Amino acid sequence: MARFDDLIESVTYRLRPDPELRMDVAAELRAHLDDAARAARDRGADEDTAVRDARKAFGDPDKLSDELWAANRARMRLRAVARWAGRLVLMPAAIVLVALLTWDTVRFAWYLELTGITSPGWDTVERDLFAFAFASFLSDAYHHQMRSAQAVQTDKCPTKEERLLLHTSGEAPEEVRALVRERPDNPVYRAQLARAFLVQTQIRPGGGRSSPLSEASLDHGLALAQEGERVDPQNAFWNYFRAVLLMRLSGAADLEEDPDFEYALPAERGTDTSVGFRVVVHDPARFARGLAELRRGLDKPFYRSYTAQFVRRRLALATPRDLTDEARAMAIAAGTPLPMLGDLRQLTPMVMAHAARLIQKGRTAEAAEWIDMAPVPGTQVTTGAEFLIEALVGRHMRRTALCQGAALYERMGREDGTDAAMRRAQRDRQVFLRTIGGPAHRSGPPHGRQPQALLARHALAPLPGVSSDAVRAFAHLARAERFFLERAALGLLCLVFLVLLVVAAAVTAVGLWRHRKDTRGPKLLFIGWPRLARVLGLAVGLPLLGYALWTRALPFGSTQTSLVLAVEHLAWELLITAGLILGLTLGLGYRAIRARCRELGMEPPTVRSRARAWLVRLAWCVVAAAALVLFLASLDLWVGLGSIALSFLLVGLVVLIIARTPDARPTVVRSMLPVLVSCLLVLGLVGRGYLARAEQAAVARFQRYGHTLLLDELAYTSAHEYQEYLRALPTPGMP
Amino acid sequence: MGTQTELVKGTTVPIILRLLAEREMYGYELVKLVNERTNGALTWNEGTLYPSLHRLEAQGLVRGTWRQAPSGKQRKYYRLTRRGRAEQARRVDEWRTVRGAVDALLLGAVSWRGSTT
Repeated sequence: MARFDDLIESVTYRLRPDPELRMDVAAELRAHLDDAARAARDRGADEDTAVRDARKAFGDPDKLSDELWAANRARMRLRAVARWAGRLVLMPAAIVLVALLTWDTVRFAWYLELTGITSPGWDTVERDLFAFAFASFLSDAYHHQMRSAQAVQTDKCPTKEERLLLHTSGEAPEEVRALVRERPDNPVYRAQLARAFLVQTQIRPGGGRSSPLSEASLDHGLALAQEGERVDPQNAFWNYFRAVLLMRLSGAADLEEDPDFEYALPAERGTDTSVGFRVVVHDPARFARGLAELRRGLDKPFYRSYTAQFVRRRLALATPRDLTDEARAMAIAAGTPLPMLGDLRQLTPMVMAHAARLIQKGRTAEAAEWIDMAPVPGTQVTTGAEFLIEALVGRHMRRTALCQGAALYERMGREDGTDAAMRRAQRDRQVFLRTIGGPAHRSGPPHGRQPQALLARHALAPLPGVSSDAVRAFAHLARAERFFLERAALGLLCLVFLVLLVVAAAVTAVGLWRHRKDTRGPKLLFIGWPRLARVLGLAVGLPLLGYALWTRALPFGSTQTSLVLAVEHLAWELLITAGLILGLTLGLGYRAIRARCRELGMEPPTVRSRARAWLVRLAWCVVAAAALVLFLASLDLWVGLGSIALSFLLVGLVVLIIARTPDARPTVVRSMLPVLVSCLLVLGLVGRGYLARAEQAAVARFQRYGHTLLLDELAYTSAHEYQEYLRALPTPGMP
Repeated sequence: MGTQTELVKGTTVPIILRLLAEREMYGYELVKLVNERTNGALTWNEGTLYPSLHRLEAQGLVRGTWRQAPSGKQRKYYRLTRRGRAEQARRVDEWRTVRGAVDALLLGAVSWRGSTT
């Protein structure tokens, strides 16, 4: 009713510092005046009289203006404070929160990269943190990740001891050697120095052959071994370490195939043969010293590399906050080098080649002595193994010794020796197949960690013979990974909210700039607490409740799905939930603001004109098609989804900014700011708080089982039965 | 007229609270109801009702909500809060006391403590 506009304008003039309150009061007064005029008209008054009577009954405008100002003064002040608080606190808080959540997403991406879950270059069996930990020595990608994890961890480790634990390459820095001197009786540190030394002087995993061993290096290595033997005299490790160095530098490392040295493995007997080696010795004296060290090692009661103790210390370096930290810790722990194994594998064929040479020279008694002693190092390594890979290398050494020994006895014409050696090899094979080398092992590549890797792939479907502790550890890991994925998804969703906020702020800024000389700029309307609570409940609470029921409670939901089994499946679940939250927030927020506009007497945004609606639909179809093409071209779900989301946002931004709308749409966009901020803060604070705590708890539970499994993997598989079988054997040279 | 205005002014808030205790109403409804029940004996400057309502709202005694009226138009309805109900009862008691005292003084029939003289 335009006839009351001047009255309302003057009555509410003093409320102009708070435009929304002014509009609210104006709408209320206008409704009253309209009702009063209509009542007068109903009583028979003409229009002018009705308006005049209504104005008169309303009272003195100046007095009313003062009273309205006095009545609303406190409220205006409070609202002004709230608005400034919103600008100064809530918006920055939202930005900080989104930065924090985005950091979570980045950490999750690192985790995916670290564990190779989404990397096409990795075998599927490795796509799990646990498999990752067990699947060392498998690929260059792993070693790259391990080195980067180590670099990160090294930066965090300021103490000498921590640096020693992480030290893996070449000559130890003086401070590290000083630390070992400070703890002279610590065999774990000494073994680590020896391992680090060997890493530099042999073919490195994932790398090339390093420079040949110099005389100076040999002396250094021998000194290391001597010191080690002094503090750890019962351990054959130090003797074999010395034997390896001496025999390698004597030229015996130059093994070449010997076509005259054929032998059969138990499985190939009668059908196929393998070929042994010929040893080329350039420095017989040094070779003899190596053999003497080897012989001394045979008499030692045990062989131990101290790898498990070392890994345990590495694992204890940091307290993981989330799975990325845990993956790093496991990568570093699992990346503990076992270089001695490669050299030990070569010791047996060298000894057998030496025995073959003795037979050629007619020194058969001496040769028989070496043939009988040759299986001992393999047996020692297997029985003293702390990791499956060590047990497998030891078993390989023992098998080579027995089978080649059978062939050499045959060459000497000693059938009893041939039969005895082959019977032992056959028996070993049967026990091995029953324990470590079951079907899971044989179907995969020839490395000992495959059973665990397979186990990891079937995390929730335990294989026969696997302890319940392992299954429990995998379940905790699956849960922790899911929490982490959800935290990452929350980060992305909040990032989208922030982008929307920026879009809305940009539209508002453009609107305010266009109307900087009049009062028609976009207004900031507050939809009210009850409506805001309804929007939050329906748009945030309801989808999250549905998601929680589907993923945590309903038996037909995805309660049993893990990240490693179905990352795409879980991503779709999260995407749908996020889409619902986003769509409902925008839809319900829009409706609430329209309702508020109506209350204040503003013209609510009109439905788009048909032509413009078609234009927008067409633009979105083009964008969706482009995203689909991108998705099909790259076959990458994340690229496809990301490009769709980004494109829709960009189109929305362009449409909103360039649209010259005469209605209240800019006001709607501006008023969406508090709605979006509220949703973002509620989602971010509550969601992150819950997910971070739940993930930490799951990681802690996984650690309890997972670290035990990692450090004591032989105990959790049937491999220890093979060790017990070997320990029970009467082996020459073994006490 | 001035005297009447002063008297009316003092009764505005109790009357608003009393009427809103019956049901929620918007401003014009309140004015109409006052006119109907008092046969025009109480004459409000209609506009002054709103500062009172806003003050009561700021004090948390009433809560205003925009809703659609039966006429189909948006109206701001006010209803008493819990605190408003307590205040309304207190104001009625206060009015009884004052009225008794004033009656005793002006009419002399009944003491303001309720006993006959």
